[in-house]
Amino acid sequence: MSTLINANPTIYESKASNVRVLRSDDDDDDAFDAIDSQEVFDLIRSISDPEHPLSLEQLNVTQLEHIQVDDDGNRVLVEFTPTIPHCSMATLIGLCIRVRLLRCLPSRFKVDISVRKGTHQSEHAVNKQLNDKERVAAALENSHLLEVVNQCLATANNGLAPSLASPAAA
Amino acid sequence: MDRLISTFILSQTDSQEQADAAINDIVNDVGTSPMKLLLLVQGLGEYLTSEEAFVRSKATALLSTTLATLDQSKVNANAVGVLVDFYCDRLTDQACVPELLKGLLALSKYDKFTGDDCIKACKAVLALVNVQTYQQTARHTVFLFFDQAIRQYLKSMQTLGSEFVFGFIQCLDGEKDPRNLMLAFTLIKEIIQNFDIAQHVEDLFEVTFCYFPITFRPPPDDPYGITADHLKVGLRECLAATPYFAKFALPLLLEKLSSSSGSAKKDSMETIAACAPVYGSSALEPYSEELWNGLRNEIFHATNDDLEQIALNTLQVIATELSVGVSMGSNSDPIEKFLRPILSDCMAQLEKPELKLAKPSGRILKSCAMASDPACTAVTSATIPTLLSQYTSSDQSTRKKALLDVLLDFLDASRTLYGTAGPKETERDNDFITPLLTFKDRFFEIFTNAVLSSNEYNALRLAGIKGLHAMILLREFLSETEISYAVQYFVRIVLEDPDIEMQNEALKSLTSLANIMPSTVGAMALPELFEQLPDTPSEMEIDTVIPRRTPQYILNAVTKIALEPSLFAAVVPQVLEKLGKLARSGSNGNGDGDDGVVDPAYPIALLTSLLDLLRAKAELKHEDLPKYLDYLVPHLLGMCIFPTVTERDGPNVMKSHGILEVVGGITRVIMIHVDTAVQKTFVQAIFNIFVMGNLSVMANYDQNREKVPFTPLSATARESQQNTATLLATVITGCRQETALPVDDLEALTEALVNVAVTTPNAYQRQALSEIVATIVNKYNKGNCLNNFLTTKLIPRLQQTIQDESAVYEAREAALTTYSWLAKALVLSVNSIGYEMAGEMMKLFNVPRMGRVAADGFRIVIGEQADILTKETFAVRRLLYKQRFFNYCTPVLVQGFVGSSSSSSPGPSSSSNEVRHHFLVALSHVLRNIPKPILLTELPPLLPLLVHSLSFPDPELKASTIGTFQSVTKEAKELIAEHLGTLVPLLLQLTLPTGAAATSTPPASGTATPTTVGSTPTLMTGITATTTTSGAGATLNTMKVRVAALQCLGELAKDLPFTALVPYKQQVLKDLERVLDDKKRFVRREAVECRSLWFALSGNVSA
Repeated sequence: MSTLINANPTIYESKASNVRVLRSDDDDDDAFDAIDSQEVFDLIRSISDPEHPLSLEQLNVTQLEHIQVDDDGNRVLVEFTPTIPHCSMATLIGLCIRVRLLRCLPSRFKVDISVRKGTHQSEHAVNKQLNDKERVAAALENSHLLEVVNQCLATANNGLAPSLASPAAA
Repeated sequence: MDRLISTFILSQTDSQEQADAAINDIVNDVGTSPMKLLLLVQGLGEYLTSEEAFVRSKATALLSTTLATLDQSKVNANAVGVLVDFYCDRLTDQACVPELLKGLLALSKYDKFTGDDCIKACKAVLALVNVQTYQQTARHTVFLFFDQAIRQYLKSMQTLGSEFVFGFIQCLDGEKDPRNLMLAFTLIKEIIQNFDIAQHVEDLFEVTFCYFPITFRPPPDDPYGITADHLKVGLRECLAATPYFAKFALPLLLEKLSSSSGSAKKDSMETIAACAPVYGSSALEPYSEELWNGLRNEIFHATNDDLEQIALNTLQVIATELSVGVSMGSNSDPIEKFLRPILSDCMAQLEKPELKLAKPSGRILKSCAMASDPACTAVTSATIPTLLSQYTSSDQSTRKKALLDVLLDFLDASRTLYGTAGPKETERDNDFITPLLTFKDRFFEIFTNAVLSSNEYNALRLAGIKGLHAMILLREFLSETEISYAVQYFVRIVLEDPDIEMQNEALKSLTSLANIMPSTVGAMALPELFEQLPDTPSEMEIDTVIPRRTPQYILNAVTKIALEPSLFAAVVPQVLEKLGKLARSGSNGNGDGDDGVVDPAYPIALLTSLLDLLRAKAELKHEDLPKYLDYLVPHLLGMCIFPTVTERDGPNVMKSHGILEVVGGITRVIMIHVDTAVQKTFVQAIFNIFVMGNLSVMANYDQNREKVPFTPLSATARESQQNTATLLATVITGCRQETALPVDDLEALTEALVNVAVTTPNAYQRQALSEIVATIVNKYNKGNCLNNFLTTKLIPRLQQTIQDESAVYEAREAALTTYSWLAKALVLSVNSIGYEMAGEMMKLFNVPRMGRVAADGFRIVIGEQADILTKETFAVRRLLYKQRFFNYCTPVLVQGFVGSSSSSSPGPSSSSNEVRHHFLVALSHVLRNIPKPILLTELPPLLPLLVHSLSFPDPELKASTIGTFQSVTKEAKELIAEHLGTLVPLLLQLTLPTGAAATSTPPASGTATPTTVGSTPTLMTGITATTTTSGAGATLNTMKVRVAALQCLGELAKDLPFTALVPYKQQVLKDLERVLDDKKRFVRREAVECRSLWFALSGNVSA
């Protein structure tokens, strides 16, 4: 327990205003719902921190405001904030976000993940690793690392109670 | 007798029946006379003294079994004494001991068994039997015997004193069987309570504590039902049975607390909590520091919430116990000594209250403060001043918020300890008052400021609301003025604050306070809320300058707050007043204008708030419901009916279907909560209005406005009048079975109603009439008195119209709908006529245009309709009616499906496809409504049909079928796994909007490709045929179908074994990638969820 990098981090409340409000055309078969920053935030907010049984949202590592999505231009930019500037877990956290988005976003998107400017002492190195396709692929070849990533992703959900009545209940 | 004895003795072990029969005969024979027992003993003589241990044992078994089965009145007191002596003496014969013990147990249950016999037997067992050398059953018998002895002959046993205690310890030492332990643990408790254990405390403790912590895991098919928890609780009760154990137990329990096993820790903490009140403060005090150290770790570094909560509870129990301790000599109070390190540890953490460990610190202080008045006082005086000054000196809002959370913990603790405000508070001692009272003004100021702060950090303001709310709930805390200030803040937030979370929290507080202090909340909140509701539709549109709450928002608040009877009574007239104004404004004041209709949304919302409140009140079993049947309901009925009899029948909002539905709902919820007598009176009044058309009996009746007679049950009346038939329907469908309808000739009424239902052009009226007819046939067919009428008149009347090919389609459909309702009424009561009707409906599947209506009619027949013929509305619903219907229909449906595909020889034409479609639709309605266990047993033969349903274009059918698959996956793993080869590609197709583009091919792995539908080749060819035809066209998979398919695929990943799924994994992941880009967000969410489940699949068995 005493070997944690940050044993006593600050905890943030998840904001209720960060929840998607249902619109009337959500149920309309023909309406087109664009992928937006809220949707990407919902995908990554509940990923677990590798050190604590807390979510990235609770640690303020991910914030809705730090996600930019351009659905038509097929681009996503996610910036995250390590809890402390010397956090050696930053790369791992970034990798978790990377894998989650690889699995959950359509492949047409080009996804950039980076440490928020000025929040980590070696942000350049971390950013370089996270956006290098081959290094990410190599990291995922490592079965131990993959297991850690999968564990952090095990808590990830998209924050939804089933919003459509399931056909069995209808 | 001798013959029987020898039969038994000589019987081989494998002829158990023979032996049993012999024993039976012997018992019967011995039962005939007391002398026979002597004969039996004499007869056994030679065997009991035999050289062969086996024979002696068998002879003993015979005697013991006889004694156990025999009617004890046949044995006299003398004989019992002799037998006890005999058994005790023979305990030296080791081979016979198990059987001898059984005999002693049997004898100990005899009335003539005396206390002296008991002492004699116990002494003999303790002296002569080395219990742990025998097998489990024998040991079990010993414990059963002791149990019986202590229960029945406690006085005598106590004379044995510590001799028995010591002997018992010997017997128990080394016991391992869970069944024996369960019994032994009860005995230990009995012994501790009833015997002098002073000399053997340590021995008894050791022989008990050696089982701690329990690590027992029951065998997989455990026939005895003993779980680890049973043993844990049993052992815990022993350890907590006497304070003498304290000095031995506490060090060991503390040691186990530092163990690495979560379950051992949990057990230790729970055991400490159970023991603390028994051991007492003087025993706990020496360990107070170690106890805190042990528990601190569990709380600060808790691995899960459950363990943390247990640790907190334990802490609280210890603090409670130490609070009653007396100080020894110059030392401080035990509780102070205990709290000192806790307070310093927690306060150290709270110096940085926004960090992770601050929250558990707050919870620790809360648990301590909840323990007792002295503890609370100590904790409060040691911490609150510091926390308050920290708050004042801090300007960081996250830190302020965290400090408020700690103060909230204190308020909660106080409420638990000192009581909640409310009507029951008089029972409390008035001197017993929370130490927080000293700080009341500061608290009120701080929380008020937090609420009113214009801080962007919402959590701080939310904490302010929670704090004020918690203070109001504290008994004897805030003054009335302070309370009204706080309530006023809540009301302002509900009405004005832009933030949703703040609104919800304030509303939540008002809701909870409304129950405790209805008059305060009512006086301050309700007028303000109603003030915000517009009186006219025009008022709703203007006024964009001052932002106003929507009526929907205000009404939601009213619905939450006004549950309490006096508040509800205040709300009803206000809602009716608003409604009255609206109804008039839309109809030019005289109820006969036509200057545009009011949008019914707002009036419907007004009425829905009343309906929601009434439903919630019914749920809470409020008793003020019936009075609204005399006041609210007639008023609403009048408002709906009067506009339909004016001269011009102009537009009026009260005529809209939406309004009629809600008024019906209000009527129904009250109707089903009043007794038969009240129902009867009300039904009488309603018949007078709707059947006789006599409106003059109604309140607010104005003769001048009734220009047209009121005939809602006529096929030719005004549509607006016909529509009100639904109000009559809600009253009749809500009747109890005992509430007779006020008509002389029920058959004539029913027939008239059916005639109108079939001939009316108004589907809304037809629906109402069909519901009435169905209710009459279901509830009032007592002793099948209507059967004859049904079969000779009503059903032929309907069938004639249905079959009449010259009639217009609408008329035939109308008759068929009413027919379906009638069938439903009869199927529910398991009347055979109902089944025949369902059979007739199935014959219609191949009739053009009628087929689809008949198939959908199955939804009416077997599906649940809201509020119509439900259990809550007193319908006759016989046991297992769904199962019987299933058994009746399914073979016909399956046969019909197969028949209609094979009859068309050149391949499935479009018309035969349509017929088969009807069979599948009807089947899906049946399957959706049968209980799952039946579905599971009947599933295998239906599976090919279900798979087939997935390739029809009908989205409802597909969604329903996917739902069926999803619901059975967990229970029918093997069956579903066999069909994965067909199912997975089909489901993948259904996840795409067009379905046609699926690339799925069967997986490469040859062994896993299942071919199981071989028994029905015709079906398989049918599937291919339809798939190709539908694939070419634009098969549109609606959002509902796509979501269902994804959920079903996810269910497969959750429930089926890895080996079954692995051949499909890559294909599924690949195909789902495209679904991630679905245009609907709901579908994308499900796709993410489903894909994650398939990604997570791995062969590793991980916890």
